[in-house]
Amino acid sequence: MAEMVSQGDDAAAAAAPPKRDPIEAALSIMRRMPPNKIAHNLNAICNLIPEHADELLQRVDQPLEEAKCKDTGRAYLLCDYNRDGDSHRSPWSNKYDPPIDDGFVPSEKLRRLEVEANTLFDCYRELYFEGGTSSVYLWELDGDDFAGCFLIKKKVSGHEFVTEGCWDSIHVVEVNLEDNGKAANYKLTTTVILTMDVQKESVGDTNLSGTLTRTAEKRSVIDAEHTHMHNMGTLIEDTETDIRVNMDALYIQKTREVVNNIRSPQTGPSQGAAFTASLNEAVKRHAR
Amino acid sequence: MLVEPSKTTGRADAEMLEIVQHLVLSSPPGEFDEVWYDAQILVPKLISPQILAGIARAYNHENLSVAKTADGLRVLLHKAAEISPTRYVDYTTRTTFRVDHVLRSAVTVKETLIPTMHDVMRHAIDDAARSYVMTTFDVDARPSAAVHVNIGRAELVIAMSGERANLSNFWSGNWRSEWTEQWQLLGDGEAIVSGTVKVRAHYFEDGNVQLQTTKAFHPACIFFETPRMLGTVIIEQVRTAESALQCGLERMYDNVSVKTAKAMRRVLPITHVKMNWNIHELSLNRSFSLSKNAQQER
Repeated sequence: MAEMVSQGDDAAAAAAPPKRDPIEAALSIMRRMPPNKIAHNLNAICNLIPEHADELLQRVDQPLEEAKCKDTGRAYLLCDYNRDGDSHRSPWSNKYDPPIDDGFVPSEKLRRLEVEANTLFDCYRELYFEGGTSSVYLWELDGDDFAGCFLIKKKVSGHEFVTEGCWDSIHVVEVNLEDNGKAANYKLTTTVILTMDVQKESVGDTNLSGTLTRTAEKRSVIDAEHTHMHNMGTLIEDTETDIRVNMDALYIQKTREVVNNIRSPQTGPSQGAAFTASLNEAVKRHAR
Repeated sequence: MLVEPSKTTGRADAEMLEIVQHLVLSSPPGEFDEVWYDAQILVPKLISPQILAGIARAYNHENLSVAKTADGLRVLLHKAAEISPTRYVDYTTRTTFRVDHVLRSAVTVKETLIPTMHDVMRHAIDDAARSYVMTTFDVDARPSAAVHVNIGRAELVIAMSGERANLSNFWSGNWRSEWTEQWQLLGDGEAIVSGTVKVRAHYFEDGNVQLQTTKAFHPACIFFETPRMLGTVIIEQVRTAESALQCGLERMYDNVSVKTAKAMRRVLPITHVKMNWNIHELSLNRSFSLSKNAQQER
């Protein structure tokens, strides 16, 4: 150890016990772990710092699980916002599974908006995803303020390269009424988790995965045209489209660029190397 | 488990140790120090310097990391080069090094008597491998190659790696491969080559996106007349295989972008018109979508 300490700044920094918030450290680790193993690694970190597990589970989005509504037969998505104990509330029937007596349900007024939100979001899902599952959950905040969680999960399989793939969208929006309810401020946090497994002779066992989180905020009047659903919906639609474009055009392509910055992609058969060698020779001769 | 916890630590400590080890070993290229730094905040004092050294050694072997001497010599930390956990050999310069796995630093120990079995063959492959990485990898990836003798198994192991880490611009990656040449039970001038290539890339500016690839190349028979020719033939085999993988990855990226990303979430709705969020006009979205579907079916 003495040797290590004597070897410079890095070692000295490591020797001084770092003072940082465990939550920040855990989030920082999660940002470096493979994005196709979020649930596994998050669970592992929670075991290291069980006293912070609740907060961590709230702050790190995980791939969504799916269940089937016993009343309607329709699939719905599970998250912390429709969970009470070990039961989850179906957005289609408003009932908990397994059934519980006093599970949280939104007020009658908010439930009406939730039903509308589920109908509209289901339509949105069909327009952009052509399949998959969607669910919306709403809950009251102080006064007439409320919040909502809009979820979509879409799986694909059997593509030319991608054997199994999955897209998870998690939109959490907080609605604060202003101006006696004539306007509202909408605060959105969107996380997308993307995983693609590739099993193919030409690329072996490959995984391409990512997670992106963005926030957006807008203030809008509330009237016949600018309903809560219109205001929340357009904000979600624009943010999700933005993430979709960035994920593909920027983030995924960036990993490709990293690989090609390590090993030259156009290296053909040995002519490339031979050509370089002969060039080097020519340069050397010239220098003499 | 790579390292045994001391007898005084309880079962809970052993489990926590295993978790820390898993997290640190999962670090992307060039990010070992960052993950280890954060792990210490979660479990201060759990990991002794000896155990950390053990984790770092496993990480270095897996990632084919390079240790540097003060005067700039580079030692590829491949397990076949390991004499003991802190001593590594470089056959080419006939040198051994004392290695600090955590700092990835090395100190030249002394010229030692190093076995010279299959030396002509080893040298030939070594020259070809070094020239291959220097011409194929980017100079900033600091590519390294080394060939080691697996004594007693009539086997030579070629280890090659290139790594770039630019953490202030939020990216890192490596390309590493291990190839084995065996000639036992074969006729003169015949050898079998097999190998595994691993690639990892990480981009994390306001996000976390990673590529992870492992591709095994099945044994292939090669023929040669002289040791010098053997080096050329083997490395040609390696070049072809690695270039094919890179080509495959390029095609995958194109296909994923055009096909899979679109099948997951379209940039524009099937109607090419943004969603109408009015519940009373919901049927408009649907009828658009139905007519579109009808068109596609025709």
